[in-house]
Amino acid sequence: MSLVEIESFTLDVQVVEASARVIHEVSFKLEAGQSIGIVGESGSGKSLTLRAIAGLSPENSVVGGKISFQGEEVSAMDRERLMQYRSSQVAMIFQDPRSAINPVRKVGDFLTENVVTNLGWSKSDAKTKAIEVLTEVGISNPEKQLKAFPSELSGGMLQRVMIASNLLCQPDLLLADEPTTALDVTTQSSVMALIDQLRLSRGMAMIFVSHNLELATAVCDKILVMYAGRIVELLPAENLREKSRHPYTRALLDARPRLDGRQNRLNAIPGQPASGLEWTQGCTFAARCAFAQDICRSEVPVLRKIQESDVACHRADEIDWDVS
Amino acid sequence: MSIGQIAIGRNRGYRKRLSKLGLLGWLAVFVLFIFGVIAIFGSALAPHDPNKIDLAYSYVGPIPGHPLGFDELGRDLFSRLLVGARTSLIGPIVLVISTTLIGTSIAILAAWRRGWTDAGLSAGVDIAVAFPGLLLAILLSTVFGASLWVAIAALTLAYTPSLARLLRSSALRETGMDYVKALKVLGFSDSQIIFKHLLPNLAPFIIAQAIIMFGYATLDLGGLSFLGIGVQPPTADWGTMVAAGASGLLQGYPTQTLAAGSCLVLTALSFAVIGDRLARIWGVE
Amino acid sequence: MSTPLIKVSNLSKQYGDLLAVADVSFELPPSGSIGIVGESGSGKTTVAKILVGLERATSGKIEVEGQDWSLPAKNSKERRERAKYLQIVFQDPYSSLDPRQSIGTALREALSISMKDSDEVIVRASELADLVGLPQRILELRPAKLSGGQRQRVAIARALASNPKALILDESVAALDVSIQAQILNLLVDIREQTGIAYILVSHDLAVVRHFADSLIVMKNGNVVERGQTEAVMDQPNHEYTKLLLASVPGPGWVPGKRSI
Repeated sequence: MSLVEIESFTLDVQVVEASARVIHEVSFKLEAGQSIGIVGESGSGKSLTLRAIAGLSPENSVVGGKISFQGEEVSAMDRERLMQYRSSQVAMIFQDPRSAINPVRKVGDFLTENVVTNLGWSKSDAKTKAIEVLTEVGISNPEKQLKAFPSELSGGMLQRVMIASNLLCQPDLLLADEPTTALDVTTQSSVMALIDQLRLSRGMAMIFVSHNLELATAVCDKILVMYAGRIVELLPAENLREKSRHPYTRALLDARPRLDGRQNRLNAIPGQPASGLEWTQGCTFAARCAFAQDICRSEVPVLRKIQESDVACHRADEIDWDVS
Repeated sequence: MSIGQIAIGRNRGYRKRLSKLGLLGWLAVFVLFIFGVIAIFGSALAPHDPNKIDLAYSYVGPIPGHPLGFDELGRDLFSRLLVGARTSLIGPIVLVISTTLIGTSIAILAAWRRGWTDAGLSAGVDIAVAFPGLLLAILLSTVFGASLWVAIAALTLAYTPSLARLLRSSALRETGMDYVKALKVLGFSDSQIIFKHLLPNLAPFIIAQAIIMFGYATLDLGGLSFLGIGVQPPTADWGTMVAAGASGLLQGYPTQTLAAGSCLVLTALSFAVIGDRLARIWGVE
Repeated sequence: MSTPLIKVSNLSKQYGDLLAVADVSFELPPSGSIGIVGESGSGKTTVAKILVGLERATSGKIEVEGQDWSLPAKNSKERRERAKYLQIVFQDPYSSLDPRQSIGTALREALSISMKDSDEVIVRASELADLVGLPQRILELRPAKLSGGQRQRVAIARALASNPKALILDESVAALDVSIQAQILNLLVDIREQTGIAYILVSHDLAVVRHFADSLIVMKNGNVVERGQTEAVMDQPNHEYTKLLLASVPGPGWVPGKRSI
């Protein structure tokens, strides 16, 4: 049994009195201790997928398919079970720690609230443990920081507090939604190092959502590329740069300016990123794809296995990336 | 995140959404429309002379041709109600306009200049908010004598600080937008940016606030008239009518107080409902 | 080096006890490009704001083609005059346009500052749309109907309305999707080729700076810690902070650094 199993997950949202599908048939598995990076541009559905795993889909939406955690279906959990699931088995880190932490309560209260009210820990136990995890995430003088208000801490420090709050109850799965996007690059580097190290030492699994391919590749075992609410490619992270097969994955890698040399022009992808709402007969990326042919515009490509990758592209096995 | 971006769009088709006023909203519009017509044509519509005293009819109840009966001086109540609409509505209109003009100016000046100007104005506003409006009205009326205009001036002074404070925070948010900075760099003068961009963008908020204020203004001016500080007799006015009816109330003749009072409350309520609905439609709090 | 278009000497800005910008100097040659690199709190954006007169420098000197710009414009006439030299494009595409104005109106309004003939303004507005790669039909629309990338193109077109000699890009591509970011960067390169405009690129993104800027200054806590030609600094950084910045960018073989804060 996998830790997380997602089968034909779909999400329909209410948009101006009509229901529209934004996530289309997303399926993947995550084993215990493994990490998957979900990457894509805005509208790809990467965050919605992540939130659905925590049972946090938007209120006006309908989840289809099956999302299960350790064999138990998330959508079948009742209120109480869902609370327990979120407070002890999965942990979430968001992009903006400042909006996820109540600004008028002290850091210590924020850290211990969950375990005291939901898991019935004693206050002194919770405090001892809180000091322990703050030390573990590299915050010096933890006793003093427990009494600080969130506004007294920098963004990087606050994200560490966020991470620490998730370590209190030994979750099996860490859901990280762009956890370092709002941080400076040097802070990003140290926060990622922390997440990576804690994850490995505790054997936690992780789903890491990011727009940054390079960052996801550095901390994940597998990369799942999403476009317009569909999976377009799923492959081992080490294969991304050299062996990715989907034109979109390649185009994303190519579009970023390089740090090690200067090119005259960037290989921009024409057009706008599509969202899952945009309906086409064929491949949603076809309109922006340099390799699109008639079949791409008339038939939706399904994921198929080519060597170590799962690719949803009609032409994945024809394109020779070493030449083009 | 894509869903958020689709749904969020400021001012997106808000004219279309005006239809979402709801039944209660439209009812309020209807009530105000009727009162507006009465305010304009009241003296023409009145079946009798509102100031004609006939003590023989003092506190006489409804009789044919006099649907509401008579007041303590034997004046036709229905006619007084119709004619009184104008004074009762003009007072709040002047009050709301003066408060909105002054309050908006203070808010924009504070938000635009920031720094010391903002600190000074905000401190002044904080002090003024603490000062009770009624006390101010009584004070002014002892100095300048009681009249509608003194009541309006007093309430303007009482209302302005809280409005200025409310508007300042939205003005601050708006002046912090990058487009305002870009327009400065493009070479536009402060007044061009304020009048062509800032004010139109704040307008929905200002209008919603003004309409809500209208309700309070109707009640408060009525209240001041009731205390004898506002409109002076024998001018027909709903506030003074409530006051004049008070003695009758004790003697078992509640018609005057009830009729004039309901008109006041109905007006205030209608404005409050419309202001609230508009605020929701325009997406401002 | 020819006479600089913009010369900044010993610029400082004090907020209360905080020295946000400390003794910053640099030069921008005509049609050149300079990157101001730094993280939050480095003072890079404050420098940009001082240059366009949105903040007042505590001390220091700014010269633009020999004119003294050390203080913000005194009046509207001076503001209009300066607009012909330097413009700015901000980071957030969602707040950089007046939500009530159609794109066409916004462009024509910006043009009206320097052009009096209304027919000419209309023609030039559609030329600007072409220049930034926007279809003409977009001129009818309000910002809410546009994507982030399209709005940023509008902001660039509007900034170009006064035909400025230099453009400040204050994290102008940071909020955009990767594929759109590349489009905008290419567009900016094209515009430079066509108009000879100079750029000041304020950014935390070293890859973008490398792609775009001829020279750069690296700022930390208000101070310039390193300066030089972009290639030279990036290939052989001297200051520890520059090295740390470069080492923090994820790339092939990168592992997150275990540096404590």
